[in-house]
Amino acid sequence: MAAFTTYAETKSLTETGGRSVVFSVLKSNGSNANLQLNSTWSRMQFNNDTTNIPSTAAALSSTTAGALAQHPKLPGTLTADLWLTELEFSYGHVIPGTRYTAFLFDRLSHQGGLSGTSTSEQTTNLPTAALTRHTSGEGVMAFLEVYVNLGSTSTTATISYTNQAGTAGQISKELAITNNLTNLVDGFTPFCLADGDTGVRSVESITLAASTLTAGNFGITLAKRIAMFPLDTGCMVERQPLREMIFGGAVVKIDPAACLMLAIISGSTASTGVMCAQGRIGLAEK
Amino acid sequence: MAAITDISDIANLLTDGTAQHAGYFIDNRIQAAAAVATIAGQYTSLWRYNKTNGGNGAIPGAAAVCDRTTLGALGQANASGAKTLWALGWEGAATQPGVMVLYDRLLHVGGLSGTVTTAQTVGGTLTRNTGGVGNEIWVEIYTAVGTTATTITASYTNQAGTTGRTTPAVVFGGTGAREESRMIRLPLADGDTGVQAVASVTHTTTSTAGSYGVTIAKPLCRGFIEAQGACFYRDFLGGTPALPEIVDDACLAMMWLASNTNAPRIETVLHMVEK
Repeated sequence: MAAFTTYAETKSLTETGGRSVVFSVLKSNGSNANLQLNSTWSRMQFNNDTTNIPSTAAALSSTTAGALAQHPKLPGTLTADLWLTELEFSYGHVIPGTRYTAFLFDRLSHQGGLSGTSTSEQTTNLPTAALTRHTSGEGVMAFLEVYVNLGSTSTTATISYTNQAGTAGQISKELAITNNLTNLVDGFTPFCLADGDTGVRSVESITLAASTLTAGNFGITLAKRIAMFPLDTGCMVERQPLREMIFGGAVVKIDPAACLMLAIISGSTASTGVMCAQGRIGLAEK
Repeated sequence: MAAITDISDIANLLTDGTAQHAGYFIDNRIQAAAAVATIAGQYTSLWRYNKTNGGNGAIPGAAAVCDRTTLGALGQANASGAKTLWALGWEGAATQPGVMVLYDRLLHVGGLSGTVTTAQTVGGTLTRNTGGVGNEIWVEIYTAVGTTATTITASYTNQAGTTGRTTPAVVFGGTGAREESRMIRLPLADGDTGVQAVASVTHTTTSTAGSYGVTIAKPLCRGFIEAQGACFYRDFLGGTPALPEIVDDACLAMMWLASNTNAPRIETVLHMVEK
């Protein structure tokens, strides 16, 4: 694998020799009074898939149901490197003027079946599956992901994890599970790590400080951030101009087996309606 | 060290295996507790906020130089060999509107009291940007000082090596200038463009000792979050500042200029290449 030699080559590899991943996601749940969670991260489901809730720990790949890249799928293996070189995005929402930021992640592993009422150390469906990408854990983030609403009583959570150096038994900083913020479906909240740690290799357990009073269902997701981009709905539908990632230095390598996913941070708490996003991820291989 | 020549050079440097994309998520909590409320129009230090990598910055004691290995720093690697590390772009998103400021935290000291009315020693010796141009003096509050508003000045050495310079008085203590994590910039004396050292700070009592310190910072760039949930990306190829140099051992840290009273949660990445 060799570095790009010229800007023209970068463009050529993207436009004629590369892979454009076209995606479409939406988020609609008219019965959920907290369709979008103001001021927190939430996962956007591919094709509004609300049924694909994980249980046992699983490592994920480009062939995992729910992965963003379906048209085409990422190849899984490749003899060349795959680089993110372009992004474009269009977004529609019922609330004009709402600001969002979207984040592209490689979803490395997930599990579910954790309870919002248990205050003992929970190990159900843990530890997380062994990483198959970014195996050292360097730069890997651990998220608390909500699949069925937790209760309205706020509390905090900590995880016991193995860090990027392979040291087990590290304890994260407390993550706030806050009513109407991080306790609801699709909540996707990152854990802050112990001082000095720079990544997560695996998560062994989670402990809630107090019960949220509703078991719900949540899990631990390990993911690595790839890119972020703005979504401004100045009108009902907004199309972002093409972003060439070279400007700003955001050309990053993407693993050909990556399970791409989107998460958003919202500036609105609209309770009904559909949020939909379509876009293209431009990839160059060399 | 060689100059970056053109956009093709950038394409090569981004994909030769040496590019760095250093970043983290910053939670609006300090250890086990929620961060205190921000104040619109005032700066908040994110030094001690919980982060997804690198850890919380500690409250300093005696004057100490900060570097890239200091807990709380962004933690980028130095450029290899004799190369220079350059920032190509900076991105950030936040749950609140405001301005993010990226700076090199050169030196800090803590343990100063809000009730001592004699000159309190700062001291320390810079190891980066030692000429002082562009360096700024900030008061950083670690435990709230008192409700009595007073004013504070610093005695410092300017960019020309002239000692005994005095900053104009600014408000210290009282609402908006007393809270934990508050940062207060001390403007420089007329004609000065930088700081080589800070000798001391002086104020009358704020009525509560609290604990505060002085930080010497070199701002690198700013990012504007115009609304809740929005993001920015600064392109240093086409915009300003043009390709900021990230000097060896820079302790990259952030502060927040708030637009409301809600402490922000932030995701940020700095993209760098070396040549």
